[in-house]
Amino acid sequence: MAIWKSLRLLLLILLSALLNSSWAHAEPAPSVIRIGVAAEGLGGRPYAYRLSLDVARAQGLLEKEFASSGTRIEWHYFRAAGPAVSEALASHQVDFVFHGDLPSVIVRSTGIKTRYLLPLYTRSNIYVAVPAGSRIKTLADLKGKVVSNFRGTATQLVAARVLSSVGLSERDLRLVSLDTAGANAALATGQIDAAFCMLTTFGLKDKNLIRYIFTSNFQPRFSAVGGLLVTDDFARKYPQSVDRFVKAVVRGAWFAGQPQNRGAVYAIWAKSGVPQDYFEREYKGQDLRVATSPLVDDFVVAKYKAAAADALRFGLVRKPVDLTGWFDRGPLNRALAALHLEHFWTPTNADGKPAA
Amino acid sequence: MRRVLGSGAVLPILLLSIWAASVHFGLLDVRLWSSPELVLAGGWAVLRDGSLATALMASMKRDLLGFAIGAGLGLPLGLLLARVRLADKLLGPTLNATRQIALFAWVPFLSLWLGNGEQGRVAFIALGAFFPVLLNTHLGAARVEARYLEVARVLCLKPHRKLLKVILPSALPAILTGLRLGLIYAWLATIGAEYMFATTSGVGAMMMDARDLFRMDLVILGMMVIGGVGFGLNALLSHLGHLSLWRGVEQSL
Amino acid sequence: MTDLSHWAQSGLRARRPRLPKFPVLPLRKLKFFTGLAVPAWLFAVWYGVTAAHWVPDQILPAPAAVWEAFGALTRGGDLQTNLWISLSRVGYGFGAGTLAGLLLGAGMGFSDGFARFVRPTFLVISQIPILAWLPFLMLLLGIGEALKIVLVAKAVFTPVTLSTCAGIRDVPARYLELARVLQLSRLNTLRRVVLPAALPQLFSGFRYGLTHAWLSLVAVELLASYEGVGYLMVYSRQLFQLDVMVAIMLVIAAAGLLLDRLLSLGETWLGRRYGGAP
Repeated sequence: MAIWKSLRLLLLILLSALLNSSWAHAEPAPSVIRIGVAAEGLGGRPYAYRLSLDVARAQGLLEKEFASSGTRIEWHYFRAAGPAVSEALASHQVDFVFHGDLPSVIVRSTGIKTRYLLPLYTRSNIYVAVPAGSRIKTLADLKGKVVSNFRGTATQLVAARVLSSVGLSERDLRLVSLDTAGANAALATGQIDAAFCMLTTFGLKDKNLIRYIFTSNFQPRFSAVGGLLVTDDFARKYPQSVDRFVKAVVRGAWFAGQPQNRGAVYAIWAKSGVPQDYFEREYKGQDLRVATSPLVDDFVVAKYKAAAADALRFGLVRKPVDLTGWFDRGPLNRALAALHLEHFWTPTNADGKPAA
Repeated sequence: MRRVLGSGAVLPILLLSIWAASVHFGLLDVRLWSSPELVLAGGWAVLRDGSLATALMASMKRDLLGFAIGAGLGLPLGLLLARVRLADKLLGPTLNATRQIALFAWVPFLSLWLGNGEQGRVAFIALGAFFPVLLNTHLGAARVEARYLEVARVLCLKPHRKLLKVILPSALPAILTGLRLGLIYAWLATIGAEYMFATTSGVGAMMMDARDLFRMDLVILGMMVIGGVGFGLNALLSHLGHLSLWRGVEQSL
Repeated sequence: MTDLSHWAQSGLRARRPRLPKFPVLPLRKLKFFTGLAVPAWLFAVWYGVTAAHWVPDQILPAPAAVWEAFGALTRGGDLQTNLWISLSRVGYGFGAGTLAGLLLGAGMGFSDGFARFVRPTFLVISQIPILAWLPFLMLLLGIGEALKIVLVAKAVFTPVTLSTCAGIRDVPARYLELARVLQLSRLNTLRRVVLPAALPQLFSGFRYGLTHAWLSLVAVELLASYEGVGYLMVYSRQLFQLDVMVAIMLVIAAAGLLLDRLLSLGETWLGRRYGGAP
């Protein structure tokens, strides 16, 4: 009899301890948060560029935010960009990801459950580079040539749009998929005829090893966007952590959006190994506040809808992708309210102009 | 003895001299071909700052772990298939068909099911080591001489004693060949894994980064290091089995 | 001491418990089917798991989807074109590598002096796994056909050299003596004595080389190519089209099998013409 009494007591103690612990934190914080970034710095450096997330990374905003709950932050940078991050999502290896628009849409089309939280960049620029001695002068000359295009990334979609603007399609070219560094190497040694690339090739241009035959000049219609996603699983289990995460990222975006911090932002992006003055050249005349705005406004939504439509049109996905219910503005709005930044950024309409 | 040593070294020294001279006199582009001095200098630099040692450690760890898993699965399975006819009939054709799939065709699947992390890489390396070990163990264990088996029957040996005292010793040369081949494939798979799975550590990753940065000297250095490690592992196992390299090729099938 | 003679006489009859007699089954015909038992079971599991959606579609596509993807690839001609390109690369590379390997192996096999001169260098080069050559060759040759063919040739070269050398050296001395006694010309010695004796080893080298060649080709096509089956695989991987990926993987397996069979046929044919010890 005594044994049952003591067992009952033990059970009571255990139960109360359990209840108490669950009262202390309304929700347990995860022990680790894994972030997958679809980019990588030069030579494998664990830093990216042109994202508002980079500010949070450099300033340790996330680590600071989660220090109180003892959550470790793990950063994973993927040289193989979007596709590799998609694989990581499929195998449950990451919780938050930075992803370009095309890979995000592809992931959505395969049924992997994610939530879109906020954009990390909203304006991008693309170049078409050819080796210096090349006879290719215009986009139309690309027909039948060996061109590098980083497949499965946002760049591929932009490239497809650029090609279709001159009546070409991917099938008219011989496309080889090379990552950024591989494309640079191939261009410099003349192993490919052309490449769709970004500002990382400025060094080659300065050495007169390549020429640009096209640049999109940040035109919204050729622009890609990239955003922060979270897995549905994580969001359901740790909604408060999602809010805290978003708050830290928005803090970083706020830093990036202030004009006086321009130089500091470039210095942060330069940690990836891309020289600082490349950013000064690239973003001259561009408003960083717009380029790194975290608002899920009409422009961003229209961009993703266009990405889904274009992906279907160019045969990159095989059935229409439904984006309804994907955008989760909750954490963003709460973060903006908590930081009193509701009016810092101006929402833009579908054409990229400020909404009234 | 000295004559043998001398004549073997002539060709390498000749080739190295031609290389160095061609680069020196501009016949070969030094940016593309590098030179012996640059390779040595580059090697010394990465040795000094410890990055070579770290990379090597990382590669070796995955190699040995993957090999252990692959061989650990291949050896008992090979024995099973050789001694139990039913198992051979059931599993043999399937394994044979799976063996035909070129190793690297598995990369996309492994990276999807197990992620781009260490698990996927080690699984890939284990897969590389598995089939050579399986095949050679099967070969060795299937060809136990009839008279040994007869002795086992006569002495009414229990199965596990039969295995230990008769089958394993008889199959040992083939098993060791399999292990050596498995080690070679595992090392190949390690380098391949470092190229194909998003890897930041290891000698293969170091070589890919060097290629991206046009550091031909580091690429050549990497090749030599990789070759050296392969040689070392092979020699180690060979010493254990007292087998010559040449015999290994014929028994690989 | 037990009288072992009793065991020796009856020992050949294994002392196993006798099973009750089953109705006699046509066992010979069933043998063929036991080989299919496991694949059939695996297929059933595959079908069942995907039909019940236990595993998400992104991890394991349904058999029907794979079949559909296969159909789409063949209809568009993509599969045929790319497969042909890959096979032809293997063909050229294998031819080049085998030729080089036979020459060097024969040189090392026939001449001790030559072997002493060349073998250490050869061994050093053969220690470097084929993939370690890739960045080097990529920088030198670019990412075109040359890269693929050279890499495949290198993959074939090493095993063929080794087995040729071993095969020639392993020709029993008495055969060569016989040839000398019969005063056979050099060519005839080669044709009638050396070649038949070395043939099995030669072919084991060819087979190893072919496997290695196919493996290396798939690897290099995964990394740097704009055509070929490896390229198709990368294409589908990056666009997350798993059903296409599975279809390509099966094609790669089938192609590897086909190449192996072709080689076996060649071996049988050559064996009939030249084989058999004198």
